[in-house]
Amino acid sequence: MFTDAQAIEFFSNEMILVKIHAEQDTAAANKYHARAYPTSILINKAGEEIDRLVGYDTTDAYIQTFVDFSNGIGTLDDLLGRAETDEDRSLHLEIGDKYKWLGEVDNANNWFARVIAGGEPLDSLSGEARMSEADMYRRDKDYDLAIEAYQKIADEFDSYHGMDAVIYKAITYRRMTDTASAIATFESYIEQFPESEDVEYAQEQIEKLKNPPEESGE
Amino acid sequence: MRTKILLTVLVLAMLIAACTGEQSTLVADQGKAPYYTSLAEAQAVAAADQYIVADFYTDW
Repeated sequence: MFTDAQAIEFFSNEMILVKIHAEQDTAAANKYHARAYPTSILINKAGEEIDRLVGYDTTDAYIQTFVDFSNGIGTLDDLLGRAETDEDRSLHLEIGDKYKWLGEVDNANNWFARVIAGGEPLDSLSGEARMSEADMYRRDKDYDLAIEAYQKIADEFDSYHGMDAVIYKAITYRRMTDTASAIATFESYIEQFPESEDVEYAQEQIEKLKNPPEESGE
Repeated sequence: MRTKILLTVLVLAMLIAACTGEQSTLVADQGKAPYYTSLAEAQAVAAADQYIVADFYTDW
Protein backbone atom coordinates (compact mmCIF):
# COMPACT_ATOMS: atom_id res chain seq x y z
CA MET A 1 0.00 0.00 0.00
CA PHE A 2 2.69 2.53 0.83
CA THR A 3 4.22 2.00 -2.62
CA ASP A 4 1.04 3.09 -4.40
CA ALA A 5 1.33 6.42 -6.22
CA GLN A 6 -1.69 7.65 -4.28
CA ALA A 7 -0.08 6.80 -0.93
CA ILE A 8 3.22 8.40 -1.98
CA GLU A 9 1.38 11.59 -2.97
CA PHE A 10 -0.69 11.65 0.22
CA PHE A 11 2.17 11.11 2.64
CA SER A 12 4.44 13.49 0.76
CA ASN A 13 1.98 16.37 0.66
CA GLU A 14 -0.85 15.92 3.13
CA MET A 15 -0.21 13.89 6.26
CA ILE A 16 3.00 12.61 7.82
CA LEU A 17 3.46 8.85 8.13
CA VAL A 18 5.26 7.28 11.07
CA LYS A 19 5.95 3.54 11.18
CA ILE A 20 6.34 2.15 14.68
CA HIS A 21 7.40 -1.43 15.40
CA ALA A 22 5.13 -2.18 18.35
CA GLU A 23 7.42 -4.78 19.94
CA GLN A 24 10.43 -2.45 19.77
CA ASP A 25 8.75 0.82 20.76
CA THR A 26 6.58 -0.65 23.47
CA ALA A 27 6.26 2.75 25.17
CA ALA A 28 4.44 4.19 22.17
CA ALA A 29 2.38 1.01 21.71
CA ASN A 30 1.29 1.14 25.34
CA LYS A 31 0.66 4.88 25.31
CA TYR A 32 -1.75 4.50 22.43
CA HIS A 33 -3.02 1.07 23.49
CA ALA A 34 -2.12 -0.57 20.19
CA ARG A 35 -3.21 -4.20 20.64
CA ALA A 36 -3.78 -5.42 17.08
CA TYR A 37 -1.57 -5.06 14.04
CA PRO A 38 -1.62 -3.11 11.94
CA THR A 39 -3.24 -0.29 13.89
CA SER A 40 -3.03 3.12 12.22
CA ILE A 41 -3.79 6.05 14.48
CA LEU A 42 -4.49 9.59 13.33
CA ILE A 43 -2.94 12.04 15.75
CA ASN A 44 -2.43 15.79 15.77
CA LYS A 45 0.86 17.61 16.25
CA ALA A 46 0.39 17.50 20.03
CA GLY A 47 0.15 13.70 19.92
CA GLU A 48 -3.57 13.55 20.71
CA GLU A 49 -5.46 10.73 19.04
CA ILE A 50 -8.26 11.68 16.66
CA ASP A 51 -9.29 8.12 15.81
CA ARG A 52 -7.84 4.88 14.49
CA LEU A 53 -8.12 2.17 11.86
CA VAL A 54 -7.43 -1.42 12.89
CA GLY A 55 -6.51 -3.91 10.18
CA TYR A 56 -5.82 -3.69 6.46
CA ASP A 57 -7.62 -1.81 3.73
CA THR A 58 -7.16 -0.73 0.12
CA THR A 59 -5.08 2.40 -0.46
CA ASP A 60 -8.17 4.39 -1.50
CA ALA A 61 -10.16 3.40 1.55
CA TYR A 62 -7.19 3.81 3.88
CA ILE A 63 -6.52 7.37 2.78
CA GLN A 64 -10.22 8.25 2.72
CA THR A 65 -10.59 6.97 6.27
CA PHE A 66 -7.97 9.41 7.54
CA VAL A 67 -9.28 12.27 5.47
CA ASP A 68 -12.71 11.57 6.95
CA PHE A 69 -11.33 11.35 10.48
CA SER A 70 -9.59 14.70 10.03
CA ASN A 71 -13.00 16.13 9.11
CA GLY A 72 -14.74 14.52 12.06
CA ILE A 73 -16.43 11.87 9.93
CA GLY A 74 -16.57 8.30 11.21
CA THR A 75 -14.87 9.18 14.47
CA LEU A 76 -16.08 7.93 17.83
CA ASP A 77 -17.62 11.34 18.55
CA ASP A 78 -19.39 11.27 15.21
CA LEU A 79 -20.81 7.80 15.85
CA LEU A 80 -21.89 8.71 19.39
CA GLY A 81 -23.73 11.71 17.99
CA ARG A 82 -25.53 9.54 15.49
CA ALA A 83 -26.39 6.96 18.14
CA GLU A 84 -28.40 9.56 20.07
CA THR A 85 -31.19 9.16 17.55
CA ASP A 86 -30.27 5.97 15.73
CA GLU A 87 -30.99 2.56 17.25
CA ASP A 88 -29.08 0.71 14.53
CA ARG A 89 -27.37 -2.22 16.30
CA SER A 90 -24.53 -2.29 13.76
CA LEU A 91 -23.78 1.31 14.71
CA HIS A 92 -23.79 0.34 18.39
CA LEU A 93 -21.43 -2.56 17.66
CA GLU A 94 -19.11 -0.21 15.79
CA ILE A 95 -19.05 2.13 18.81
CA GLY A 96 -18.35 -0.80 21.13
CA ASP A 97 -15.44 -1.81 18.92
CA LYS A 98 -14.03 1.72 18.94
CA TYR A 99 -14.02 1.70 22.75
CA LYS A 100 -12.53 -1.80 22.67
CA TRP A 101 -9.53 -0.66 20.61
CA LEU A 102 -9.09 2.34 22.92
CA GLY A 103 -8.88 -0.03 25.88
CA GLU A 104 -12.01 1.42 27.51
CA VAL A 105 -13.42 -1.89 28.68
CA ASP A 106 -16.46 -0.64 30.60
CA ASN A 107 -17.63 1.63 27.78
CA ALA A 108 -17.08 -1.13 25.25
CA ASN A 109 -19.10 -3.61 27.31
CA ASN A 110 -21.93 -1.11 27.74
CA TRP A 111 -22.32 -0.81 23.98
CA PHE A 112 -21.94 -4.55 23.40
CA ALA A 113 -24.74 -5.03 25.94
CA ARG A 114 -26.92 -2.59 23.99
CA VAL A 115 -26.34 -4.59 20.82
CA ILE A 116 -27.47 -7.77 22.56
CA ALA A 117 -30.41 -6.11 24.31
CA GLY A 118 -31.62 -4.65 21.03
CA GLY A 119 -32.08 -8.02 19.34
CA GLU A 120 -32.28 -11.72 20.00
CA PRO A 121 -29.66 -13.15 22.39
CA LEU A 122 -28.42 -15.65 19.83
CA ASP A 123 -28.71 -13.65 16.62
CA SER A 124 -25.72 -12.82 14.47
CA LEU A 125 -25.08 -9.33 15.82
CA SER A 126 -25.33 -10.57 19.41
CA GLY A 127 -22.75 -13.20 18.50
CA GLU A 128 -20.50 -10.51 16.99
CA ALA A 129 -20.79 -8.39 20.12
CA ARG A 130 -19.97 -11.28 22.42
CA MET A 131 -17.01 -12.41 20.29
CA SER A 132 -15.73 -8.84 20.28
CA GLU A 133 -15.99 -8.71 24.06
CA ALA A 134 -14.06 -11.97 24.42
CA ASP A 135 -11.47 -10.75 21.91
CA MET A 136 -11.05 -7.58 23.96
CA TYR A 137 -10.26 -9.59 27.09
CA ARG A 138 -7.80 -11.78 25.16
CA ARG A 139 -5.92 -8.84 23.68
CA ASP A 140 -5.77 -7.12 27.07
CA LYS A 141 -4.37 -10.39 28.52
CA ASP A 142 -7.37 -10.90 30.82
CA TYR A 143 -7.12 -14.54 29.88
CA ASP A 144 -9.45 -15.97 32.50
CA LEU A 145 -12.23 -13.60 31.42
CA ALA A 146 -11.53 -14.43 27.78
CA ILE A 147 -11.73 -18.18 28.38
CA GLU A 148 -14.98 -17.77 30.28
CA ALA A 149 -16.48 -15.60 27.54
CA TYR A 150 -15.42 -17.93 24.71
CA GLN A 151 -16.77 -20.96 26.59
CA LYS A 152 -20.18 -19.36 27.01
CA ILE A 153 -20.32 -18.52 23.31
CA ALA A 154 -19.28 -22.06 22.39
CA ASP A 155 -21.99 -23.47 24.65
CA GLU A 156 -24.78 -21.21 23.43
CA PHE A 157 -24.18 -20.65 19.71
CA ASP A 158 -24.65 -23.33 17.08
CA SER A 159 -23.52 -20.92 14.37
CA TYR A 160 -20.00 -20.06 13.21
CA HIS A 161 -19.68 -17.97 16.36
CA GLY A 162 -19.67 -21.15 18.41
CA MET A 163 -17.05 -22.69 16.16
CA ASP A 164 -14.82 -19.60 16.25
CA ALA A 165 -15.15 -19.40 20.03
CA VAL A 166 -13.63 -22.86 20.42
CA ILE A 167 -10.56 -22.14 18.34
CA TYR A 168 -10.02 -18.76 19.99
CA LYS A 169 -10.31 -20.44 23.37
CA ALA A 170 -7.50 -22.78 22.25
CA ILE A 171 -5.44 -19.81 21.07
CA THR A 172 -5.98 -18.13 24.43
CA TYR A 173 -4.76 -21.21 26.31
CA ARG A 174 -1.69 -21.18 24.10
CA ARG A 175 -1.05 -17.55 25.00
CA MET A 176 -1.40 -18.47 28.66
CA THR A 177 1.25 -21.20 28.03
CA ASP A 178 -1.28 -23.73 29.29
CA THR A 179 -0.06 -26.26 26.75
CA ALA A 180 -2.20 -29.18 27.88
CA SER A 181 -5.43 -27.18 27.72
CA ALA A 182 -4.45 -25.66 24.38
CA ILE A 183 -3.80 -29.08 22.83
CA ALA A 184 -7.01 -30.50 24.27
CA THR A 185 -9.06 -27.59 22.94
CA PHE A 186 -7.50 -27.69 19.45
CA GLU A 187 -8.21 -31.46 19.37
CA SER A 188 -11.77 -30.84 20.51
CA TYR A 189 -12.16 -28.27 17.73
CA ILE A 190 -11.07 -30.79 15.10
CA GLU A 191 -13.42 -33.41 16.50
CA GLN A 192 -16.40 -31.05 16.62
CA PHE A 193 -15.81 -29.29 13.29
CA PRO A 194 -13.94 -31.73 10.99
CA GLU A 195 -15.03 -29.87 7.84
CA SER A 196 -13.86 -26.46 9.03
CA GLU A 197 -11.29 -24.57 6.96
CA ASP A 198 -9.29 -24.03 10.16
CA VAL A 199 -8.72 -27.75 10.85
CA GLU A 200 -5.31 -27.60 9.17
CA TYR A 201 -4.35 -24.63 11.33
CA ALA A 202 -5.50 -26.47 14.47
CA GLN A 203 -3.44 -29.53 13.48
CA GLU A 204 -0.36 -27.35 12.94
CA GLN A 205 -0.81 -25.78 16.37
CA ILE A 206 -1.11 -29.20 18.02
CA GLU A 207 2.07 -30.33 16.31
CA LYS A 208 3.96 -27.21 17.42
CA LEU A 209 2.71 -27.51 20.98
CA LYS A 210 3.62 -31.19 21.23
CA ASN A 211 6.99 -30.64 19.59
CA PRO A 212 8.21 -27.19 20.62
CA PRO A 213 11.42 -25.98 18.91
CA GLU A 214 14.52 -26.76 20.95
CA GLU A 215 16.27 -23.80 22.56
CA SER A 216 19.56 -22.81 20.88
CA GLY A 217 22.74 -24.24 22.38
CA GLU A 218 25.23 -22.31 24.52
CA MET B 1 5.21 20.93 -6.01
CA ARG B 2 5.54 17.50 -4.49
CA THR B 3 9.31 17.58 -4.80
CA LYS B 4 9.38 21.03 -3.18
CA ILE B 5 7.39 19.88 -0.17
CA LEU B 6 9.44 16.71 0.23
CA LEU B 7 12.65 18.73 0.06
CA THR B 8 11.29 21.14 2.66
CA VAL B 9 10.45 18.29 5.03
CA LEU B 10 13.89 16.77 4.42
CA VAL B 11 15.63 20.05 5.19
CA LEU B 12 13.54 20.54 8.31
CA ALA B 13 14.37 17.03 9.48
CA MET B 14 18.07 17.63 8.87
CA LEU B 15 17.94 20.95 10.75
CA ILE B 16 16.28 19.33 13.71
CA ALA B 17 18.80 16.51 13.63
CA ALA B 18 21.64 19.04 13.51
CA CYS B 19 20.24 21.00 16.44
CA THR B 20 19.59 17.95 18.57
CA GLY B 21 22.69 16.08 17.45
CA GLU B 22 20.46 13.13 16.60
CA GLN B 23 20.14 11.29 13.31
CA SER B 24 16.86 11.98 11.47
CA THR B 25 14.57 8.99 11.27
CA LEU B 26 13.04 10.07 7.98
CA VAL B 27 13.10 7.31 5.36
CA ALA B 28 12.47 8.67 1.87
CA ASP B 29 13.11 5.92 -0.65
CA GLN B 30 12.20 6.31 -4.32
CA GLY B 31 8.87 4.68 -5.12
CA LYS B 32 7.68 4.58 -1.51
CA ALA B 33 5.75 6.92 0.71
CA PRO B 34 8.18 8.77 2.98
CA TYR B 35 7.91 7.97 6.66
CA TYR B 36 9.53 8.57 10.03
CA THR B 37 10.35 5.94 12.59
CA SER B 38 10.27 8.47 15.42
CA LEU B 39 6.93 9.85 16.49
CA ALA B 40 8.64 12.67 18.36
CA GLU B 41 10.46 13.79 15.22
CA ALA B 42 7.26 13.63 13.16
CA GLN B 43 5.52 15.81 15.72
CA ALA B 44 8.40 18.27 15.64
CA VAL B 45 8.34 18.68 11.85
CA ALA B 46 4.55 18.65 11.48
CA ALA B 47 2.88 21.95 10.68
CA ALA B 48 0.52 23.28 13.35
CA ASP B 49 -2.55 21.92 11.61
CA GLN B 50 -0.94 18.88 9.98
CA TYR B 51 -1.96 15.37 10.95
CA ILE B 52 0.23 12.36 11.56
CA VAL B 53 -0.67 8.74 10.82
CA ALA B 54 1.10 6.45 13.29
CA ASP B 55 1.18 2.97 11.80
CA PHE B 56 1.85 0.33 14.48
CA TYR B 57 3.07 -3.01 13.12
CA THR B 58 4.91 -6.15 14.13
CA ASP B 59 6.84 -8.83 12.28
CA TRP B 60 4.04 -11.40 12.53
